[in-house]
Amino acid sequence: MAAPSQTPLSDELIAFLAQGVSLLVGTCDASRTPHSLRATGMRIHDDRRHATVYLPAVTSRNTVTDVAVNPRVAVLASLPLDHRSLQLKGAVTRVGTAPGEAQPFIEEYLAGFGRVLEVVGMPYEVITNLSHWPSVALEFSVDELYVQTPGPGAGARLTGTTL
Amino acid sequence: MTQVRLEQLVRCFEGITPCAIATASADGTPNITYLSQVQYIDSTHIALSRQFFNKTQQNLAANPRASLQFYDPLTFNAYHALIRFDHSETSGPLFDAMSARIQVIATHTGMAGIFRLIGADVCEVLSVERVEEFLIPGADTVRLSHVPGVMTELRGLQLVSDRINRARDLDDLLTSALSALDELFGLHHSMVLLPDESGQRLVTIASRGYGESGVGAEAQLGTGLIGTVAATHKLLRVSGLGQELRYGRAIRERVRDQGGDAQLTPEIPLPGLPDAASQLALPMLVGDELIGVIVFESQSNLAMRLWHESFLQILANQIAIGLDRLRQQEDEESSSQPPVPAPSGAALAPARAAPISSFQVSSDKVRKFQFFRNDDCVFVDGEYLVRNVPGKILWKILNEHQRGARTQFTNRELRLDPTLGLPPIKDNLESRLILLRKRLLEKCPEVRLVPTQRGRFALELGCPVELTERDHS
Repeated sequence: MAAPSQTPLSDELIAFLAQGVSLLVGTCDASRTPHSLRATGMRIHDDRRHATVYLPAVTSRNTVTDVAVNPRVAVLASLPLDHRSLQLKGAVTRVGTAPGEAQPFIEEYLAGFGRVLEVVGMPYEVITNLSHWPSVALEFSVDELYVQTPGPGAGARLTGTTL
Repeated sequence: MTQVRLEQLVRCFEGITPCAIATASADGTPNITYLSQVQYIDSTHIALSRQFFNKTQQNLAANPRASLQFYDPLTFNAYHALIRFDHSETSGPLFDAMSARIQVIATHTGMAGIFRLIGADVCEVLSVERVEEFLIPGADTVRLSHVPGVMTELRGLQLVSDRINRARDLDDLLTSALSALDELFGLHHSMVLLPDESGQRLVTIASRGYGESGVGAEAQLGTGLIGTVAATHKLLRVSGLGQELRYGRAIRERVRDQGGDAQLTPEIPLPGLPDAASQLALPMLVGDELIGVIVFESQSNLAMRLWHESFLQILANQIAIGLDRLRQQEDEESSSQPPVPAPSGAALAPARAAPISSFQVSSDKVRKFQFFRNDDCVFVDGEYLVRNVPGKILWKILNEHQRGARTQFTNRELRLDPTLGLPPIKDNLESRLILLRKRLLEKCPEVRLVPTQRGRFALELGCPVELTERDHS
């Protein structure tokens, strides 16, 4: 695995990721057929170069199968209020059943995401009704960051510390 | 995963809940992003909107297989489609339809020419699956909104058509058609706009569900939903309007961040409901001529469905033909009327009661009218009343009354007055008089223009008036 070239996640980006963002995970299999999956929470590690994303066990079969053969992963974090979006890319370092202490973290994330969606006109229950437990923990290295906010420059490598 | 058919999922592509696309580069690096628009084409094809060149397009060029994730906006079930990029279209009906929808958001958010469709990327849909247990079992009964059912569409269509056919005049036609659509189909907010004499603006001539202030509201040709429909002669339906405007504003901020301020124009307010979630605007055409635009709005995201497009386009055609019929009738009657205006006090007994104002308002208070010569605007007591041809008509009538206490007027004399600037044929005079009557009723009910016979009307003053002319400073 190549040494991480990305600077660690800044305070601003960590704050952005903690405010009820939508989380989607992209992976692909050996034949390069991609798959996407809605995640139900993401925890940034203390080193700011790794993160753990939580996936509902019932819906994550393709994702788990994919990363077993191709560890590359993309996570899109997007705030529905203003569409500011960040894409994190890296490689999966560990996959396993999420420990019990992750459950309240996931439920807190869902409550925050539900509150954001409520502001844009979606019923809060939509999010609390998402399957989320038991959960798979997917740990990955944050190797590259991309600005994914729609508009000119979408998809460009993030050079600063904020979106 | 359960295999499902794409044609059962058309509502997922209304723009209410966003679709995400996952692609992979040649070396197997995934990329995931939201799409601004996915267009259903047929049971095996969709089109993705492309406004900017980005990683998704690079990946599709290198590896055409992609995965689409989308949601049912009513049940919030999730679906995955495996798709394969086929080709990109940069012109033609598909491109035009997708481009028009983007243009609505672009013009509303002041980004005409910046945020625009580059290509419609047509993809073959290889498989579609419902994501099992995406929602906790038993919890998939959440509904975004109540979607009112339609009783029997054909019977309703007949009733509206009958009302249009029976209409005595333009005002009767529009009022009865909009009220029927409200009562029979729950379309509570609607308006009809007709082009003004410049051809560059449309003016609201009839509305329902907005209060009186809806009449007189304007839309620019080529701008926003209404202006785009008027320019392209094609209907447009926008759902999830809040979502699309937020998307547009996000792009606007990116343009601003990147120093593109100079390209941006001010965001214009939406006409109609401030909190509209869905809008449907349909052109009213006779042949190639745009007679007007009819607009329906709702605060509910899913009030306007696919079937409304066909159903309401039939009605829009009927209204257009009805308007054209009344206009031609008016032209014919006008040319057969005596050319000399009837003098004040002539024996012109009212043929029917005044239909516009059912109550009489009187006051001793002087109402002060001001005419601004340089833009043909009339203000009453410092407040904007009306402009352009209706403004000039009002000014002529008030002045003639003041000069000789005339109260009776004919449409024909207005047509023959070159200072009013009416075109020689298809002048839409009746619609301009309706606009003027409704604006007076709203802003100055003491001054009334009451139809007496067909093609004739009387000025009734329930208060003293004072007239002044000036130029805008």
